[in-house]
Amino acid sequence: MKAPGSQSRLRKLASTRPLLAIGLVVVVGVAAAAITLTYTTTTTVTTSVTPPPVQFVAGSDSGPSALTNYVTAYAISTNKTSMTATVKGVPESTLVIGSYLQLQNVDAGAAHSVTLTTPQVSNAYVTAYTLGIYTSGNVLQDTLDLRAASPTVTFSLPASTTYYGKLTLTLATGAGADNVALTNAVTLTTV
Amino acid sequence: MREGAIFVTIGFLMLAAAGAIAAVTVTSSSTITTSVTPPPVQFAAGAGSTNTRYVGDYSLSTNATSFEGTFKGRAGGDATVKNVTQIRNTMSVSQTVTLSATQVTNPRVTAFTWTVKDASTTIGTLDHKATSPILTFTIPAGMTYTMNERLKVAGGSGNNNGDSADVSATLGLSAS
Repeated sequence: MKAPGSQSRLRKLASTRPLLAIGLVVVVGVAAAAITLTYTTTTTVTTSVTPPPVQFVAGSDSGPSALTNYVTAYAISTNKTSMTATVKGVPESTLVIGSYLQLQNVDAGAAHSVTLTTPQVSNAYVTAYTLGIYTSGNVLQDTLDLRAASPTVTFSLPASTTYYGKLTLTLATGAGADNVALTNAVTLTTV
Repeated sequence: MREGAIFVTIGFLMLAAAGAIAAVTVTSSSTITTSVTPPPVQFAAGAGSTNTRYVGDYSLSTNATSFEGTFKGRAGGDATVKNVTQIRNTMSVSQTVTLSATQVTNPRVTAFTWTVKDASTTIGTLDHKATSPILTFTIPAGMTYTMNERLKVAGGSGNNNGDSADVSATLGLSAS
């Protein structure tokens, strides 16, 4: 705030000593522009990796050490975040793999919500295709039905707990390698 | 008042930060490939399946995992048809086979069994008259067993006298 009458005094000064008045305005302007403060600091962000809280573990009936004619090429990624496997069903039969995979919550401090999703299997020769999620005490938690319109299943995995998945695949008469060749991406989301 | 408002604001910011930490989401993708393999244990027609006096309309399913047929008895007769059907292990390892069936309760049928044979050696017998007919056995790699069918019907039974011995039964096969 300027003091009262400062403008009138400045006008009076400008009329008598114009160059001095211009100099004062310039000095004031420069002072205003100089109120700019620039901080330059250095913060350190270190990036590292921590294991995912929910990890894949090989199923006892289908893991790499238990490969059969029905499950081949079973593998779990280095960080246990994903798995790959080939399941071979039998025509006119129901194939049940008691422990196809396991999901382990390695977080000792908290439960995690786990969601499994995959595209729908609409092949007419596949009459049933499910992955049941069970506790270690064999209590069914939920079932991923791959023939459903939008196959998804969500369950809570308690801290330091392992659930296992039971796979069931039923193929109809006429099913063969030439008409049943499916590849499903299964997405695991952990919160 | 102003200090209180500031503390409340900071509190909200801290809660928001805590919420962001709890909402960490990890997503990964796995791949399941689905294909087909032949049945490890299959049925096959035995020589007795063409014995038309006692066996009619014997047929195997496309992949030989099941068979159908009509098995005829004689009133007062006790007929055994040898090698009606066979069970084959097509694998290079032994298989545990379980045959399970529905119970036959018609009192005119006094015996209805399937006897699994390894040549002259009896592996086991499935009794349709039992409450829960079941038979479990192990079949070695590449081995074929035969199955004899026995049907005993009470005297006086027939299709035209109200004492029909007609029954319908199923036979289930599982291998592991």
